[in-house]
Amino acid sequence: MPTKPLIAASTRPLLLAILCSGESYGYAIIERVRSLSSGRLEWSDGMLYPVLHRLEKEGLIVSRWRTSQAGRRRRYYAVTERGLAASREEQAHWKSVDITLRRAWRLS
Amino acid sequence: MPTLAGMLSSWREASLRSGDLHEDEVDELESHLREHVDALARAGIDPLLAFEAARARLGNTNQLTSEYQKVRASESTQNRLAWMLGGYLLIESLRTTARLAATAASGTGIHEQFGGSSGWVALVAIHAALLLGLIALFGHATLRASTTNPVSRLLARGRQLAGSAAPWRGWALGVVTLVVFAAALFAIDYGQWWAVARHQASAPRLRMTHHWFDLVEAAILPTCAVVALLRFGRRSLPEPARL
Repeated sequence: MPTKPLIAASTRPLLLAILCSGESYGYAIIERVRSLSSGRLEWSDGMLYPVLHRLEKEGLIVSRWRTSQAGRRRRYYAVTERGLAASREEQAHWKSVDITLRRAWRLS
Repeated sequence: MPTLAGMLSSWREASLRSGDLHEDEVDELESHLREHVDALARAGIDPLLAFEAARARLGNTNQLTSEYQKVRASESTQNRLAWMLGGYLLIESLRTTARLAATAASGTGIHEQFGGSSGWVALVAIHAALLLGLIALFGHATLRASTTNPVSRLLARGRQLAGSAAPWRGWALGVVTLVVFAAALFAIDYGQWWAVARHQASAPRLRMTHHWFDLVEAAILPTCAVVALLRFGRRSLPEPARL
């Protein structure tokens, strides 16, 4: 299981990446992370929303309340153009970390 | 006998009573709880047990507050600064009004204090600029979260005006604040110059140069205008991207 700091660091790129594939709401995002990581990344549910709000304040995502077809009221989050750009940037950073680590491990 | 609706309602009340979570946040957390309870109930778990499990996973009020506080840390600095500026503007407004009242009571007359008919322009302009500054400040996004104190409620109308403003109105508000402020300064200076020219005897009482405090004062309203420009100008920008 990844450490807490690593989970925290990966929250932002993960959220942006998930929202880049379409708008979503808190519970569905957590389920998506669980499925993508095959259960290896366990987010505490309460941690998600403040991070989403921070991203919204930064203008990377926007939210709106909507009632689903099943009659459930949910707050949906969608990525903005700035969010798309930030996600691409995050992707480049994490790829370079990934490449560096792979090379370092090959040496050891 | 406890029911799911009752437990959700108690949880909601307790969360709001803590005073650390905003209503909007509690709405969202409640929506999350309901989703989780439904998912567990679909998997065959008793709804009340499902609620306990979902609540435990979400965290207690202290844990939730602590998570939200991490995000609000930078906000609170802006919040304090905005309140300080707002307080300053309010005090300045009262000070100006009191000074005018005292001048009128002493028989000197507002006419003499500000000099000529431009004195009235200055009077109206100062208050208009102060009002615009206050609206700009209290329309600040971080202050909109403070809905529990009476000052915020009193200023709800101002926030509503600023918050519901169309993007161009935000820019217009900033520009008008700057123009009105410049006009006020000009009117005061012109009025003082005019008064000095007409009443040489009373010249020592009328300052031609600004005290350092006036310079600070002069910086406040343009700051408000900049805040208005940045906040309202930016607020309208975020839109969902076309994926």
